[in-house]
Amino acid sequence: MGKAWSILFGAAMAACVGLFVVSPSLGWWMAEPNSAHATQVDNLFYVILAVTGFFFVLTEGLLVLFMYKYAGSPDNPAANAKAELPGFIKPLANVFNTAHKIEIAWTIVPAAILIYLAVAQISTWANIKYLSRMDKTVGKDEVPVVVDVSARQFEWRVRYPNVARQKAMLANPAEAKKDWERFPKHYDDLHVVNEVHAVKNKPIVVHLWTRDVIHSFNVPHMRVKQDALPGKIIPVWFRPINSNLDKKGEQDPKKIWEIPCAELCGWGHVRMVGRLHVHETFDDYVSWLEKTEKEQRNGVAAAAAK
Amino acid sequence: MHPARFAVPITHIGQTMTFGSVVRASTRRGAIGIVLAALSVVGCENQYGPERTYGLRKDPVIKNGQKMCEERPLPDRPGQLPLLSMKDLLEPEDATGPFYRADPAKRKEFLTQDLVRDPTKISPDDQKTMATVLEDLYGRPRDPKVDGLDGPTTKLLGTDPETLKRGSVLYREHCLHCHGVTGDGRGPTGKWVNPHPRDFRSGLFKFTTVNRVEKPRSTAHRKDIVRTLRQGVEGTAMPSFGLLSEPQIQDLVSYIIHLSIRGEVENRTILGAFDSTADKMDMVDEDGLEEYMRNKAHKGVVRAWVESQSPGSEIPVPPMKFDPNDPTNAKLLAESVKRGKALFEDKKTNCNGCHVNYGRQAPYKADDWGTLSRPRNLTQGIFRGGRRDSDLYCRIHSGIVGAGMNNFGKDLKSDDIWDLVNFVRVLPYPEMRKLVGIEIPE
Repeated sequence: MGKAWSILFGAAMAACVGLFVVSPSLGWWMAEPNSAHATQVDNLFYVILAVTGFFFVLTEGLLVLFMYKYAGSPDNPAANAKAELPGFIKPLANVFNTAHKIEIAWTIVPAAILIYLAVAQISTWANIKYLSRMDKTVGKDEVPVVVDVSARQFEWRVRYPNVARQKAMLANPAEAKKDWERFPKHYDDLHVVNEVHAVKNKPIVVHLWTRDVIHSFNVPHMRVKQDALPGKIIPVWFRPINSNLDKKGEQDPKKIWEIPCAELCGWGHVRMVGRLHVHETFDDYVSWLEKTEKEQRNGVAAAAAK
Repeated sequence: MHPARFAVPITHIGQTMTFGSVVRASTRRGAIGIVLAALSVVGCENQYGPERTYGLRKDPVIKNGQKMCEERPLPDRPGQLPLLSMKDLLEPEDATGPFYRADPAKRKEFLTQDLVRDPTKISPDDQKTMATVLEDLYGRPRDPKVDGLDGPTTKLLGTDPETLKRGSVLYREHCLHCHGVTGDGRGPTGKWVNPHPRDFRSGLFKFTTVNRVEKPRSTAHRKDIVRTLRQGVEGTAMPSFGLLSEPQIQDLVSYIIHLSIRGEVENRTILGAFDSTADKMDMVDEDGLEEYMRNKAHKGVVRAWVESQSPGSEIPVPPMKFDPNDPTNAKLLAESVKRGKALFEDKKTNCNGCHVNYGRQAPYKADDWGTLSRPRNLTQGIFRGGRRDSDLYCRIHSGIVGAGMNNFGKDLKSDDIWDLVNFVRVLPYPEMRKLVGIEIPE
């Protein structure tokens, strides 16, 4: 009876590990890295997974092993405390048998691992989050796609510069930094809902703010996540390396990249999902801007057509 | 001291408390069984239940909403729905409600001045007839329909039973908790949002492109409701449902039209077929209640909807005479904005009369749905009905029904309206105001 529990635990543990092994082939794993910093983020994830996985298997394995070996039963209570250590641990017997030493050991080893992780991730985090390092993603004199995303219960209201302003920015990149670094409101900006457009291999800077409560701008396919806090305008930047619109601007149905809100914001939080559209070239993006501008400034559409 | 007086009847110190250790095994099994049974009964049903009916409305029908209360600086409190029953008007418990009148004699005026009608005063027989006819014409939430229409009309409005059934499922999932089963805007979430959700039963839609100058009885074009669903209403609790697929949005629009037709027929019957006194509602129409409902009310409402879909009902938006985006037109734009500002402040149009101080100090007023709303703060740059040039043109031309925005298309020429549109678009942006050369006081 006692051994049955250990077999159950062992089976559960094996299932957990097995699930991790088969998940990628079942499509239950992370999306492929679609932005320039995605591989760095994924590598950090894998390092942490390896470390925690190793210790998981180690501790659970030992647990199962000892449970099995020393399992008791109602008429035969568990073996007494003078059990023998398994052979492979005998060299460390001194550490294991002294409470003080083993406590030091299992404090120092995890601390060392954590310090390593803390240091290893600094540069990746800084490149993604620190304003002083934005120029690692947005090169000098490069004009990013600039977008103002305001989170609102329960949608993303997105503001773009109009075509004339976008073209002026491209024509004069050094001057343009003043425009896209803050992207103040202009009377001729274009407003859409739930659609963020970017361009493959070009950086995009999102000025993120919220109109009511805390939301979180979460683009899992780009490994981007940033809380939108009331009262702050927070810049978010990334550089997509793949696109999900074909040449004609049609959405690839296998590559729908969503922007689900990642901070509970009310009854509609589960429905607060936007879409990220990444164009192949900057010209495709500009032609989408032109189409949107025509729809919004439709007071002159007929006159302009003349 | 006897130790038993301090005995803690739960456990010995040091023994871990778990569900397993404290509760007997047989009780454990029973509890788990009950939980599983409950879960299976709840089920995965996504339609309304078969016995659910729309029912007759019990809350007062508003005849003249905008006279119901004075202007107020603040809206109602969160958690307050001001008009759930006649009791809210005649014997209000909440002195902070918008329709609260301290003097009981003044409260009778709601009825004597025929501002509202109380449907619960209709005789039980008449109520039964109404309920039967409504269910015969419009079905139940699980199987909605709009009876008595010919093929082309059904196709035009999209109200065939299959579409309505799909729409009913979608509505129940996405819209019910704010807009209520009958589309009354009194779902559980409704009282917590400001402004309150739209009550479809009045057949009044705010942000439409139908020409109310020529056809004052218009309701809405399907594409207006599609626009509201796709873009949400910025500045309110109505989010964008733009990620629903196009067929789903069209199904929802059909269902909303169905709810609106049903609600408006019920309203017209209560307002038109009955004569109201303080104590009762007498059926006065000579043809009888059922005839009134099927012929005058139902046919009239459907006709209004059909006409609203025709291209002739759309507001004709003429193109602007110049392209304001073109920087070479800067002078033309400046002149247009200045003219617009003059029109805004002119005594005849009197925009500042409602949009006090360009909307910055506009008070809340009662609207035709029994809630409060206020004229838009035009310096904010938030446009609920859409911010395209044509949207702003339509708002000024045909007004916003139910909320008191008049239709200025009657008195203003299209050039004047475009001047106003340019002014309204420039108003929220200080650097544009400076560029164009207008000033508003701080």
